[in-house]
Amino acid sequence: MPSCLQGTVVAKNRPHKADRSIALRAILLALLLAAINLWSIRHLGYGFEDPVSLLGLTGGVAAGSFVLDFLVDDGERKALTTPVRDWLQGFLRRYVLATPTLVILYTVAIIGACTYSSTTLIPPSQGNPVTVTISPLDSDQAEAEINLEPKGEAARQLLVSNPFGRQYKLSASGYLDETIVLFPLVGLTIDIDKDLDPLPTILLRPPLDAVFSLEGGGTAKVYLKSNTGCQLIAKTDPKALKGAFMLGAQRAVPANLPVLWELELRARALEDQNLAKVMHAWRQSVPIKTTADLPSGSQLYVEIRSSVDKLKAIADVVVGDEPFQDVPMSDAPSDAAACH
Amino acid sequence: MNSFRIILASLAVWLAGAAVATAQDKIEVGITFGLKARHFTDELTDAQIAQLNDMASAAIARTLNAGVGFLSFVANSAAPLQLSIELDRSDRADSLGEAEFGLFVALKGPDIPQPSESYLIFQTSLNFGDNFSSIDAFSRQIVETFSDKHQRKLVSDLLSQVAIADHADFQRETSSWIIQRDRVLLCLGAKSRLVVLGKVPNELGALRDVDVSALVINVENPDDWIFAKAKDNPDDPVIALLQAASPDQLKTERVAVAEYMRCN
Repeated sequence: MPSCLQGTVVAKNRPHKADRSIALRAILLALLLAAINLWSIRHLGYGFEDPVSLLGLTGGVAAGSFVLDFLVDDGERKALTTPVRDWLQGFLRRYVLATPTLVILYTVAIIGACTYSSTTLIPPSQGNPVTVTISPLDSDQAEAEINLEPKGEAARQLLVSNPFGRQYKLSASGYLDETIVLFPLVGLTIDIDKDLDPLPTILLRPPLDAVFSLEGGGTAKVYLKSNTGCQLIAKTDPKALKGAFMLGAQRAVPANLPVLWELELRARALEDQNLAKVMHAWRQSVPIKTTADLPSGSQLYVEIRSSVDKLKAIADVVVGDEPFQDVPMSDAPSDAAACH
Repeated sequence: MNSFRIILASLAVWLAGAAVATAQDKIEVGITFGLKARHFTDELTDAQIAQLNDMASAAIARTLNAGVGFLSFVANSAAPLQLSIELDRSDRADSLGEAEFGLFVALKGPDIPQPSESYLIFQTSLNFGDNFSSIDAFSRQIVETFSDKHQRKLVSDLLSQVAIADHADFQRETSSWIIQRDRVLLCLGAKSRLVVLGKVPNELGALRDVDVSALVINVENPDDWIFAKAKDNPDDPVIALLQAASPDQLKTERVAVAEYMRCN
């Protein structure tokens, strides 16, 4: 008997082979869920520890348990829970923790993690809102367009990737285009302030005579100068401009500039009436879109022509490194030639 | 019937003759206007500038003919005397930027003693931005510069150099000049001031140049000749010389209008 009893005891304490397998599979499933949670936090921005998710999952279970405890006694609760528990155990053993299920879940998760990734865009700390367009290099179609407010929240965008990384072109208004490689799992975080080179802003201020010409239907033309000649990169419609205009990124005019402009005009001994007119025209700057980027070092030739196409004002500009260039245009001499 | 035709023909001949005479009696001055300031020319096509120049020339000629009766102003004529008017910056610089704009009026031609220029303000720098809705409006604005006040300045600055006569008779008793020009035709009102230039013998008998200022006075005479009285100033040595000289010693070289009063 003792040997028989001893044998029985040993048999009861040793974990069953099937139980060990289930425990292992449960651990594998938990690991998978943990990995999915981490991926979701990284690429979707929320996970199981998200207050809403946690409250939804645990709160629901707790509420159900409380209702069951309150409404039924122990015997009835056993009668109610035993079949459910047996069904749940069976379901978990047979389906959820079954090897094929785990294999399928892992496979789907790995494929998903390898084909989708995200970029996180951290908005600029100051300045104007930025519109970011992300387009794959192998396609002309933009895959995402995101608007970022200065000092706003970071934006996350889920994008298609591949195990070896996919190349995208990232275009942000006011910044030079950047090519990024999006790898799976890790994704990419782009801080607009730190990772993108801002496009310079060039503010062109026409002189008094040209201001009146613009009012009368004059136009502005911007040429990009190179060794091969002058390439027209922007032209305004008649009456589109009232005064100053901005090339490159659109930025707010630094607050100290108008004071300097007024000093400049007063030094020229302009009549108050004309001074006020010019100051007003310079404060109403209009952005002009160019067909080419204007990186530092670009040489520009800007001209203002009257409504009958006579040259009124010119400016030769070399784009510098500073983010904001204030360029006063000068009256065109009578023998001034067009860009050459 | 035939007699009626003869009368009509005679009348036509007489009218034509009168017109020719009128044209011949007044000295013709050609008017040419030129827009020079880039502030304005840069806003107009070449054709528009030419049109404005023509319109302004004709309008200025009309205005001057209405205001200055002793000369005949004709736009774009080939007359030897030319009054050229240019609208330009006051500094005459070929540049842009704030400026006053004015009309530079110059009289050129033979017998003009000194080529000179008169300046009439067209637009001050305060009105720099004023623009014109049309060529016609621009032309009207140019003509408005030739107001009565500016016309008087024009006469004293420039037109006083145009001789209306090269001979005048001095009347010693009244210290006045008789100029054999039709005062009605020249529409020369009383109190117009004439300048008579001539030569008078001095105390030593040598001829000296004199210019005498004389005011036109109303004197009824059958030929409507011009009577101008020299200033009554007994201390004026020139008047004294004129009084002392015999008529055949006085030589009048030119008579010009220095201040013009229009006839009524």
